[in-house]
Amino acid sequence: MTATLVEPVRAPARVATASLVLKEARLLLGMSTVWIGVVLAVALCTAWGWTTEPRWDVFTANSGMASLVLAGFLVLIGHLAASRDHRHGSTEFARTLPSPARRRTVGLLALVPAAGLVAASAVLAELILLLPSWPVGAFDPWLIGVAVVIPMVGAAVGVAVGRWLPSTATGPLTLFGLAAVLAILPVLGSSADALPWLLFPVVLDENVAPTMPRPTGAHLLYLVALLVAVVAGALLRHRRLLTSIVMAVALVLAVAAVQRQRDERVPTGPETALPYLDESAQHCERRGLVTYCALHGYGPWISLWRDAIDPVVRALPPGVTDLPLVRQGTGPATSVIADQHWGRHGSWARDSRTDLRSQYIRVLLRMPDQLAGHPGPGGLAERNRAVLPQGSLELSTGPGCSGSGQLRTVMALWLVAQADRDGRAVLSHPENLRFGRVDIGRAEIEAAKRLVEAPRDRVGALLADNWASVRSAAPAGDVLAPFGVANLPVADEESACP
Amino acid sequence: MSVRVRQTLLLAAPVIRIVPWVPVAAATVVSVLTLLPALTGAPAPASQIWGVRIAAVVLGAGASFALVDPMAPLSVTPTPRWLRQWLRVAVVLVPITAVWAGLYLAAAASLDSARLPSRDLTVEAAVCGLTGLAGAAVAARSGHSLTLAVAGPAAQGGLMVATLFLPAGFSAWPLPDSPQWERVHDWWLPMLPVLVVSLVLANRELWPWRRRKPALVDARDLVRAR
Repeated sequence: MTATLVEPVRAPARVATASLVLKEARLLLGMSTVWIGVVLAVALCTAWGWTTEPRWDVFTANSGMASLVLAGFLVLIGHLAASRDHRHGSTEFARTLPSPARRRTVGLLALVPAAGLVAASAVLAELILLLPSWPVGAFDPWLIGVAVVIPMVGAAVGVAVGRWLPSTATGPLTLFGLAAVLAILPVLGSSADALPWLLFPVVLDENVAPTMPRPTGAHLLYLVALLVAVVAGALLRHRRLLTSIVMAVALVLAVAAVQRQRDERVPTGPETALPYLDESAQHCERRGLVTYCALHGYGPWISLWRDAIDPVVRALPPGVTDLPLVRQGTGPATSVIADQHWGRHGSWARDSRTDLRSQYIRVLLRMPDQLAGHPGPGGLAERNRAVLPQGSLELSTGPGCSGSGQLRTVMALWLVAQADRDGRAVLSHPENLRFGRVDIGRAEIEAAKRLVEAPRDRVGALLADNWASVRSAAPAGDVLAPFGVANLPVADEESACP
Repeated sequence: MSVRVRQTLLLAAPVIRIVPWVPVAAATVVSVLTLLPALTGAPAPASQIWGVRIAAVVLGAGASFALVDPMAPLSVTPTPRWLRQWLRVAVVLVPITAVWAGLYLAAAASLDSARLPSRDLTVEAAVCGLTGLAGAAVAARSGHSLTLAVAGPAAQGGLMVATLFLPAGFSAWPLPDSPQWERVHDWWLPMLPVLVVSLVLANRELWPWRRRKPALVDARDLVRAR
């Protein structure tokens, strides 16, 4: 009998490491907890953006915040994976494994790119759930990168903490500690350019104008540097010198990236936003009889604005040609300013249409503007209703004036009602109708209801015959008498709208 | 002195010794660090209020690790499970309550004129802390591994995710100057009895079938059945 000694098959270190990396990645991608986190993140992002038409800056902020939730899951998962050598009394067993601890740590770091893959799929799902809508505005690839890198940092933190502090309690406590830091940062920073806000992983401030430069690339660099520092922190357990150097370099890079964000940020304030909102930043298109000017990337919204305006245009006398422009951003008071928010579904979309339609009628009939006589600082940017970096500004409403007894008030109400199948229902909720500073009386609403009940051709003829009066503050007089409306109360000269 | 009281007194010292104090200590450090910016920065109620809120969550998470008894399968004891579990709850609840109260007083003292609403913040803190304890207590019924205690912080995480991202008008975490403060805290209060009942139910004896040994077929029963 011959005995043959067989040398144990020893896999080369690289092959063994690659196998471990693949195994860890497969384990992570097969975990139901990760996919619960993905579903939660996607659901949150979808819910936050449900009411408004998507914009890239808002979408990336929502997606980034949702990816923070996913990162929380990955901190716990990463910690549990890294501390598995120490649970259930397996410390001694783990020491007997052919793979040394360093190789196992490298294998665990496969969780980082796998987390990136999971985060990218979450962002993709969030985008798909927006369909048939699609974000408008300026697409910023760096901000999409932010939503992908944040969960990678979460997984890396979990692995690093699990390698240094394998106690089961450390994972949740680390997660809550990090959540506490993130919750405190916005409280400490009062404005978007304050340091705590720059340190916050997600860029939350809305872009005042799509072409306004924002140092988002530097922010992504800051996050990537943090990721490298945390990965180095995990490997520091096994290799001291090299990883210490990498960690130090990454931290220096992170500090430099934050400093660059501070240097590159356009100073806050409405005046600085003006060049990015004025007519030179708008792209104009004529659709039907009306010209629409949208800011960069907002072209798809023109059809939404047209849906709101077209019913009014159709109800106007055929000869009317000097129709106001609808523009986004800033412009002369003779144009209608559409803002950067638009309702997406049901009543939110209806409110947006009614708002723009009312504003269009106000400009068309030369009713006084909300801000007339109030050229406050940054008035134009305020009219854009943009959320400025230092926080949202309230619209100045100016002193109200009475539209009682004026023909244009009644006709404005009738025009608004034309856009809806049930015009009377629109007029039954006058609190939803705003024509600048004009206060609407009950008598005008009742008069408009009479006009709605009358044949449309008759009212159209009235509008054509009295077009000049309708575009001025002239009193209605007995023009509406054929419709059963007489003696509209007239406001005194002091309170009447000009 | 009743048997239960004597058992409690006898068990107190060993339970204090075996409860994992490191998570509680770490939670204390984290909660103090969380409040530091509020204490050292400008007096703004928002920082103080968020500081004490986060402290309550973190302390509850640290305490929840005391609820799992790894030695339970081996402990042949005349002391009922509910007594041992409630003793664990009490042993960690006392120090974390003291730490939170200290942090609350420090936060209140750092404010110049504004006041922290003590009753409502205490209710919030109790709910946040007890959510962790209740989550861990429920998980502790299904096993004896310390990893199960992660269910406590996970329950708190669920509470946070469910309430933190609501629209501004429905936020469960308003600031005292918000018009929603009173209305929201009318909802916080009923959460307390729900959590206490959850703890009572979770700390009960295990179901009898869980304690039973695997059923063995007795040959004599088979004979009798014939």
